[in-house]
Amino acid sequence: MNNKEEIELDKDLTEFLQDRKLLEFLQVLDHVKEKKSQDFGPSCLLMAALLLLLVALTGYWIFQNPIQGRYPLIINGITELSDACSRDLKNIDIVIHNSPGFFIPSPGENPPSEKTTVNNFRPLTYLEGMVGVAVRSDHFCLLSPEFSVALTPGDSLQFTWKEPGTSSLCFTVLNNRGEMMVSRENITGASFTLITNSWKEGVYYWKIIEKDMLLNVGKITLRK
Amino acid sequence: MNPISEAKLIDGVIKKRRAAIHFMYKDYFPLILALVQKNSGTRQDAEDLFQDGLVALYLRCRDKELVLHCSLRSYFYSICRNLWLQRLERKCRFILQPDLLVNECEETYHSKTDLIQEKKLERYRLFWRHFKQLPDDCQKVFQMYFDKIPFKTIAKNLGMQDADYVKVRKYLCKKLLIKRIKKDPEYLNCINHE
Repeated sequence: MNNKEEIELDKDLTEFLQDRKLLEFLQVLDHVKEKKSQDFGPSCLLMAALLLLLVALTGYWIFQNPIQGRYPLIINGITELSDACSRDLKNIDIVIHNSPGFFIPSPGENPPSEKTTVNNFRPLTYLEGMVGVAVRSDHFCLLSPEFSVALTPGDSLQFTWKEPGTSSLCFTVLNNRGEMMVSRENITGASFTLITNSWKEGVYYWKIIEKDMLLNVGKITLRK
Repeated sequence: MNPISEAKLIDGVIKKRRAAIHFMYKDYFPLILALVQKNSGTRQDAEDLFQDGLVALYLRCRDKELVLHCSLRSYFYSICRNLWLQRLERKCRFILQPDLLVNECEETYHSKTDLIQEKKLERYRLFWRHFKQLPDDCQKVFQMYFDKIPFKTIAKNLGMQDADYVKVRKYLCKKLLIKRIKKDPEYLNCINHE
């Protein structure tokens, strides 16, 4: 900084300090700015509270109405299933799970609304893309059914495959919300039949797993 | 806003009424924020510019009667726009984008009598920021001194030994203020771009 700048700074500063009215004006500006930021504080808190409430409500809604986007849960499901497959559970037949998101009317209960039915046909994105893709089928060959079939509730579906000495298989069916509907573990032999009794209309996905390996994915569309 | 309330607003600014300034912050700031953000500036730049614009408006209104040929909003916008243009040119930033909101006051404001030195306003903002951070007694000494209160009376009021002590204190306070201003990166930035 040279002398000229020093002199200019000193001159400007003196001029500034002499201007009492300007100093007062700047003081008022500061007060207003402070007040403005104080006003902003509570509104910010209110916004945060509303956001929190929104998140909580969304979480509650998702929990109460499982939707197709719950991939982590589904992936966990596969892991759990694979673990279960390694257990020796020979005498377990097809098990139908009634999940909270799946409407099964009991006597006196109202039938599912049209909206519920439509929701049941929404594809489960992550499995939809895998339908028909033989993930690891170099030694496993599924003969029936087709990878995508349409049935009416109550129909049965026969699964058959070539038996090249595969170890026990694990079979699961998920609804379009990713909830497990059926699971059969330690399947030996070369066929079994799946019965769709008491299933509601909608889209279902089946998976055949050998140990930890996903072999095939297929789709069942159930419509009256 | 109708002309009467604009007149009240100008009067409020001259008389340093908080309600008037608060209204301007609420009503005019978004306009200035948009102007700055569209032209390579940040929110902080907009806040500084808005404050400088208010000071410019205050000085302009205080020094002589303000006769407007447009709305106060347009006039204020043109003050800020011109200040920002000068600032951009001085700091070699991007050229101000042409905008449709260029107002009918542009010509009026550009007249030599109304032109307010942007550099000076920036310096005032800097001075004020450091002045507020001075020790309490320093601020009081300055205020009393520039109110032309005799040193002896200042000493008595502030419980200082005598008039000579006040003189020394005033000298030291000013030295401290200058030292802090000189150290401020904004000031260094300011003189480097001149």
